[in-house]
Amino acid sequence: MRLILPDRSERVIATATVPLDQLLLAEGINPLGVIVTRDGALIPEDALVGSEDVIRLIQIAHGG
Amino acid sequence: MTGSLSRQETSRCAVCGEPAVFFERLAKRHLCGTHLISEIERRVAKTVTERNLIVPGDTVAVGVSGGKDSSALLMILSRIVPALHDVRLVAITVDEGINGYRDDTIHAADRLVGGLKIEHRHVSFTDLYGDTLDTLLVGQESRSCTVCGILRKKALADAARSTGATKLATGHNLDDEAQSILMNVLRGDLLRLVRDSSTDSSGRFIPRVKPLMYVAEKEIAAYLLLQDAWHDLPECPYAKFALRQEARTMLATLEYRYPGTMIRLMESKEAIETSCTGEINADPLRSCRECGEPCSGELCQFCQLRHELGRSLSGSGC
Repeated sequence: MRLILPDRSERVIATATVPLDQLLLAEGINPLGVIVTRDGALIPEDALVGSEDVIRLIQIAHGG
Repeated sequence: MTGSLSRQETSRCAVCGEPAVFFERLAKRHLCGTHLISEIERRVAKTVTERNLIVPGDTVAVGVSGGKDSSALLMILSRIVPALHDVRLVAITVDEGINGYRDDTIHAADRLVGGLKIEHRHVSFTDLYGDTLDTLLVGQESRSCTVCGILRKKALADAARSTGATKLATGHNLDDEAQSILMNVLRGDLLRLVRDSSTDSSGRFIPRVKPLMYVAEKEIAAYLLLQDAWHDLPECPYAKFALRQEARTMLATLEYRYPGTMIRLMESKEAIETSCTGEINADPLRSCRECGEPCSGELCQFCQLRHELGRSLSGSGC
């Protein structure tokens, strides 16, 4: 899986299919603090994500 | 198992069966983009009408910084106010003068307001107070949110008054409100906890309303992303100094582990308000002895700040 972080850096993670929120928690990220897209489309936090997915995390900045 | 297989297991919208884009954790249901957007707009319309936040004949000044919350607020209000009849919207953008932050959001505000063809007023700390926030805060960064909050509140209120506004709407969301409740409890500030600034006070100040008070920050982000209105904007560089940042992290952790925490905080506040009606010795509304603005003490917050900063805040009229 390619994981694109909020700072636009990328990581490749070897993982079986897992619920997105579990993946985020394992990365130390509160699922409520980000919205996540797969192939450019918004996905729910309990979506199953797998090894071939490209996942982008968008940080929800406070304020505004 | 592969990514393509995971797509076959996509969750479906509880309303229409289309692929879901969002999981409402409290309601335990999935929604597609269309139904998430309509659910958020329905909830805001319900808040506005049930609480009489906006009524026919109102001129609503909307504080629009160009950040996510105020952008979503203006988009939603522009869609729901036609049903309220004879309501005029005016967008107000305040440039505090925060280097590397505010310029981007102001451009976003200009694009949004222009696209919606809504009247737009700009005011700046430099014009109103003679300096940028960055300059005013030198050596006082730890008080940044307090100083900015007071100056910004006055700038918005004065600009709103100049438009003839009868309401001032801000983009405070559920997360903001829950954080404020927690912070007021941590400070032991019961008066501030139960203060209701949405109440009309005999025309002495413009009631401030928060139509997004029951919409979570994450829902707002999703709402914008789904409509190509999301902009990757920076966070205010002064946010790290604020108690709010710690309250935000703490509440987000609790909300994730115990869904509904923020809503229950709101409900608790309302229960306290109800049971404290007439019981709390709140000072009656007075007039600031220096500028005449309504306040609870001898001096309004703005004039107190002016003394603390030891400067005239030129252009403020004080």
